[in-house]
Amino acid sequence: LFIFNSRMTISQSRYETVRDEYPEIDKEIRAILMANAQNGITISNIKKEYLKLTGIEFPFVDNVTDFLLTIPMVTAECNENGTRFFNLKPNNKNKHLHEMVLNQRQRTDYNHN
Amino acid sequence: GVVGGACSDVEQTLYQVSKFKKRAKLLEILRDGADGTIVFVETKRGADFLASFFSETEFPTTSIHGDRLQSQREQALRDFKMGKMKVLIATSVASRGLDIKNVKHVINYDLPANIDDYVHRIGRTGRVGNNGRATSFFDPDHDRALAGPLIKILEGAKQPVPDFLREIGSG
Repeated sequence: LFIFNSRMTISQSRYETVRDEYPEIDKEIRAILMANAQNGITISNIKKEYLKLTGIEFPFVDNVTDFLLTIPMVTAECNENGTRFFNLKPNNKNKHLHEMVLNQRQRTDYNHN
Repeated sequence: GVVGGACSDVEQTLYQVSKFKKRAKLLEILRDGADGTIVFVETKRGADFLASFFSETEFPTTSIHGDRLQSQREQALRDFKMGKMKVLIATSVASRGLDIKNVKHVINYDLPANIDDYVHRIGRTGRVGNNGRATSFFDPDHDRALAGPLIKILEGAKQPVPDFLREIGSG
């Protein structure tokens, strides 16, 4: 129990440090998930998009799932092949976009404009 | 104005902004007045990213791009025109053929690849006797080829040519 507790404390304080350093990160991640809400997005693609959109390396290497699930309205699911996909639930400020993205034309490619 | 040229009743401002400084610069400009601003960006995902981010941080913002159904584009445009959405983020392709006129401020977050598209975009502001505003972010790593043509357009419209643009345009 003691070991479990101290591990939790370490990762939580790491999240706080990152949030101090990157005060917009929750909104940036939700914005990335929004842009990919139709199909969800994997961790490796979240990292790529984060770098592409901010010019900054994603600040976590390990425990990314744990971190992402501390962001309000973020969801995760495991598909039939065992791949983890992240998505978001809408809030009052972004639901107009969420509805459009879900109902827009289905995308077949990943990097197209 | 001259046919094929940019109207001189549009106040055209260019800033030298590198790729990853653009979001902060846009925020600074929008905080001075966001109502009726259309922001042109290059990619579909970039449009949705910015619209989501701004909706959560500052202003109700919507977006249109090539994956949207025609009915969704029209709805987004209606929300923008009625002021329900203060800012509209658009890719070039999606905005073609849409009736977007009398916009208060056009912002080229990403400049288009050619000067004709620039002239077309800024033509969406400043009609019917109102002065319009067009602000553009010039990224020297990406927009160098546009420097010469932009100088000609600015001079033709009697607008100030920023020093950085002259240096790049003559280099």
